[in-house]
Amino acid sequence: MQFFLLGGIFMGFTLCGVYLWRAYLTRRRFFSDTITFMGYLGIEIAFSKNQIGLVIERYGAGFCEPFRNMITAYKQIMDSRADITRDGINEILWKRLRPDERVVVADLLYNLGRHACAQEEKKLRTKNVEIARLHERAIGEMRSRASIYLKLCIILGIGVVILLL
Amino acid sequence: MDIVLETLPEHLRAYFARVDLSAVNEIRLRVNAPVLVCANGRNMFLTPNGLADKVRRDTDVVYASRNELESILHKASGYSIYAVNEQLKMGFMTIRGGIRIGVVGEVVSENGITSTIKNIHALNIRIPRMVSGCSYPILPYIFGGTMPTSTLIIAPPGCGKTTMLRDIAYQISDKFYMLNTLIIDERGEIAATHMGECQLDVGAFTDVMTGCTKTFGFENGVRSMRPHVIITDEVATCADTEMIKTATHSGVRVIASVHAANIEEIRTKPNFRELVESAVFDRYVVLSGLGKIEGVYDRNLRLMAG
Repeated sequence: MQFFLLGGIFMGFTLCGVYLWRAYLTRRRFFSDTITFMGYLGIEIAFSKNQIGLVIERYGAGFCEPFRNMITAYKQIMDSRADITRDGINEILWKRLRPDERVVVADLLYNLGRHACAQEEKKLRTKNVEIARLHERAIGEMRSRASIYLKLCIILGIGVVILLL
Repeated sequence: MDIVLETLPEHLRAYFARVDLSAVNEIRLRVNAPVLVCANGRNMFLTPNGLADKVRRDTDVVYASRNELESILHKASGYSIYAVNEQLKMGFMTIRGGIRIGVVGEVVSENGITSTIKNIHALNIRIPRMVSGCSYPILPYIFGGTMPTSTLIIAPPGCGKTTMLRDIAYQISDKFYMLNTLIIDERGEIAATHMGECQLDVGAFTDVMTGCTKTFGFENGVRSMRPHVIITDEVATCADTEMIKTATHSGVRVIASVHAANIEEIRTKPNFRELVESAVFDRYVVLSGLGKIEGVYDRNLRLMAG
């Protein structure tokens, strides 16, 4: 019985570590998916000129959950023919974004499809640089903090188990 | 009309709830100016209580802002202005239901070529209506036997030239004559094509080339679609008249329209004088009011009816 209890405690700490590690991984994926989405959009603007709704419909399923949820909510606003406002955009942003990240992503979504081809491509390129910077930061955090938290949780789990023994 | 309402910003949509939309032909919005609605051919102000001919104070009317105009364009384009930029360059956008939004603003050019319109100043939302049978009075003059004669419809703006052409297309293609009809719809006004689908009924035997110049449409349409009749709107340039001449010489009948006040103007317009002299058109139909036929003339401009 004691063995199972100690095993459970160790597993609990490890899962906490994995959860934290995954949180950093999701952040990284969120930004890499944003860049991929902008890439798809850039191709559509340059060649087929399909509407944003169709691009989301076509490629949305392949993205990580937070990004998929965000663009699906964005599409729902479009489908309901409502005005796209900054407040509306703030409502649908992924809750775990930091204030500076929220500004960049909200600005990207708000300005989507508001310009002619050349200006839209220019805007996307500018935004791409900003998102790439956030992506780099997320990668850096994942490398440094995520692995530390994971290791720390495992060590803590082992420590607590030893103490209880 | 639901499509128009969907396109409007929420603030304006609320005011339009008190308007009889079935009578509305046009909605004109200008930046920081009163919203004007043309209903049953009359221009009226949009007020918080519906439409009004006259208003006492500026505060009685509903104004449109720049943001609202931009929001309309954004929504009408499916939230993707880049997708309709080719139309915008020509100053309009066609949406579902054949609704056409005329756009004016600051034209952006690069190396002399228009790239887009920015700083939108005004929008004109035009709601097209099928007036079935409006061409009946002129059909007997257009059709001598099994084939129609080449005809030019002459009228100033707003007299129903496009509506007339649309009905002629429907009548000759579908209802009576079942002839292969090709509409060269440069600005998407006759068939109001949206995403490759005609939003207005122009007949089952009608093909529509849209968004192309008349020259391109004539050259390629004659070869690829083997039409008996070509219908096109607003002939203006030398290239247009030259193509009409070429098409009629290749056995295709052309039914077209032109902006002019009366038959005399056609005689004096440089491009058209030659068309008249070489008798390219067999009939000239002059409209003088909304759907009002002033006269039908033969190839020598002799009055046949009117």
